Amino acid sequence: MSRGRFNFHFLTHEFMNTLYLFDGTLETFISIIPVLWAISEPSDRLLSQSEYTPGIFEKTVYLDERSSADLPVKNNNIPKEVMNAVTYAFSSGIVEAVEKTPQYLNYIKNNGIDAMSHLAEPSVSVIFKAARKTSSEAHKLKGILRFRKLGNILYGPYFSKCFVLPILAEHFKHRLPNESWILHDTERKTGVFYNGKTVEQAFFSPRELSEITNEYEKAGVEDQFETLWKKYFDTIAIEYRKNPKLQRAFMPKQYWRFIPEVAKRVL
Amino acid sequence: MDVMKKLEILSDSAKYDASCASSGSNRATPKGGIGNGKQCGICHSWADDGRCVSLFKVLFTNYCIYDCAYCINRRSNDIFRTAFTPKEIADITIEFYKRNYIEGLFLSSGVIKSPDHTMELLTEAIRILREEYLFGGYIHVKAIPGASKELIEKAGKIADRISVNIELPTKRSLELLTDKKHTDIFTPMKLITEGVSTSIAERKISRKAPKFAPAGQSTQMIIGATPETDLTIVKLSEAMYNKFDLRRVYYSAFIPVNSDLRLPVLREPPLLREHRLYQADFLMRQYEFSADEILSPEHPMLDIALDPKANWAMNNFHIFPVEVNRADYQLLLRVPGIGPRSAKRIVIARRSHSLSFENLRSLGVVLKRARFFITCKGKRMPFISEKFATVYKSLSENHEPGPFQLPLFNT
Repeated sequence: MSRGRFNFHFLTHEFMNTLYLFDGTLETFISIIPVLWAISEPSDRLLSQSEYTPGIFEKTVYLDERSSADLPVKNNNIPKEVMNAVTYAFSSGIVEAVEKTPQYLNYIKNNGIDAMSHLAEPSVSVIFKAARKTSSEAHKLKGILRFRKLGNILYGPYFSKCFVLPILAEHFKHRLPNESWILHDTERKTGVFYNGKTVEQAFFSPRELSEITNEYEKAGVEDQFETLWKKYFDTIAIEYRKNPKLQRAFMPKQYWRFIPEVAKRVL
Repeated sequence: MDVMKKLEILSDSAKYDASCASSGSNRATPKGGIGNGKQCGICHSWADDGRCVSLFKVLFTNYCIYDCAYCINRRSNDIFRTAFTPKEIADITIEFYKRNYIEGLFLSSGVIKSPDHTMELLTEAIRILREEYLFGGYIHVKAIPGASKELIEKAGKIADRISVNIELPTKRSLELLTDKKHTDIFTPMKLITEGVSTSIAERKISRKAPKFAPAGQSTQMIIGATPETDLTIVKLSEAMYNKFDLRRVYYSAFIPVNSDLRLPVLREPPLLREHRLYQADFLMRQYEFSADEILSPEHPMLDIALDPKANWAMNNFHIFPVEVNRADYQLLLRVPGIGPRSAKRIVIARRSHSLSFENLRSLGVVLKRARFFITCKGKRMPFISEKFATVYKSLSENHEPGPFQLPLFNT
């Protein structure tokens, strides 16, 4: 063993923290939560592979969809609230929230589900804030997402900072169950299509996309209800109380591109 | 006349109705239908005045048999008059809803022919929505004072919220400014309260009993058109919250839309006063304050420089500072800057950790005002003054206009 003055014994395997790596997708993230729930220690971290820089004080473990099959004991009784919180936190795109996920899971596992509101605990606070960022943006988009009628289909493109597509799809599935609609996440270039029965992932090829965009522009001009809506929107404001700052605080300009009543003002 | 023109006229007249809430009613999408109600409510847009657009807010008609001094649609005004048909209202609502512009409909109206006739038309419009279009979204409908009991009950069973505007804070003011119609606001209000409580009682016995205005009722009054003090107004609101179980009272700063000798001439609408009244109103609904704690006969008007909660804290300066780790929920709620949400978070978080100022920040508690009134682990925040005068000055808001560029070429 080492004969020098310093004993590096503490760097051996069992004393080191673990850095878990995964491919960075939502699907893999969800699939590895049971693994992390079962084996995480308080100082472990989780990173997407693209964020990873090798260090000497941690051992790295790569996780993927198959990892949960290797678990000695199947542990599926993760509370739904916890599952939601970490999934929402992941969707916020905040790196620190992903990083603290193992620590968070460990803390909740040891302290019970009430620990989700121990906001003085750093990992809980980080996850809580990140999850709230996603859910509040999702809530905002449930309001400011706009559909345009392209033939028989309602087409709803939108901008979002967090990945809120699954939340929106669930919402509109209940709200407009007998219509056909498309939700299009223009930032992440993905979307879903609902045909009146099931929600399916939608992919847009560049050609398709330019066709849709043309149709979209045309539909906006022709739709009389959109014209009515714009008229309504302009009339409803009280001149005396004009307050553009307040308006922007609730409805930031980055969303305006896809909101017909204000879209023109951005250009 | 085309729908576009009608919409322009009738939404223009509806914009002074302050209510926009779409919350408080959970409604599933009817089978084969469209739309649902969300407990939390959803805002869909924000108009240029910063107010949210949640419901398609429109008048059924701006014809009116009455002649109220403050109202833009009064009989003696020479304005363009028009009316929708019930079907037109329903069609626009559905088409707007499909495009996700709105959360539902807020239908109000001038009084055409008679209160009963008007109420019938309103009820017909929302009946078409619910029964023919199977619409499950939010519907707020105004009850027309003077309409028959049966009609109001029918509307209440269809709508999520039904409301009557009290318009002015006292009966004397009402008699002075309105045209008979409003002398009896409390009868329909009471009717709705009874409808709601009966329905709640019945639904406890059978889930299938019909809902009656599940989102309750609200009302609205005009501020500054008549000489009432804030004390009168706040007391009235408190009484209505207690007696009629109102969900909200809306206040609307008086904006002179008519010239009328009975109305005061104001330099500008009392928007700040309206803001302070809303603050006082929230103190009563969510902060467990009573009207007497907010105002007293010696000080019947709300302080313009200081918000009512800070004002209360300054008047009760001796009970502060409170210890965040020990004070009970009710006392935490009294600290300026700590609201129900922060107070709840504190109460839960301190079970596991003894809280420091740093922890409070990570809880999301805003310390800008709270820092003067709290201690953490027995210590005040460093460099924070305990002097009454300094605290008062830091809390008061400056409403003087700031420096601005004078016109160069104007005379």
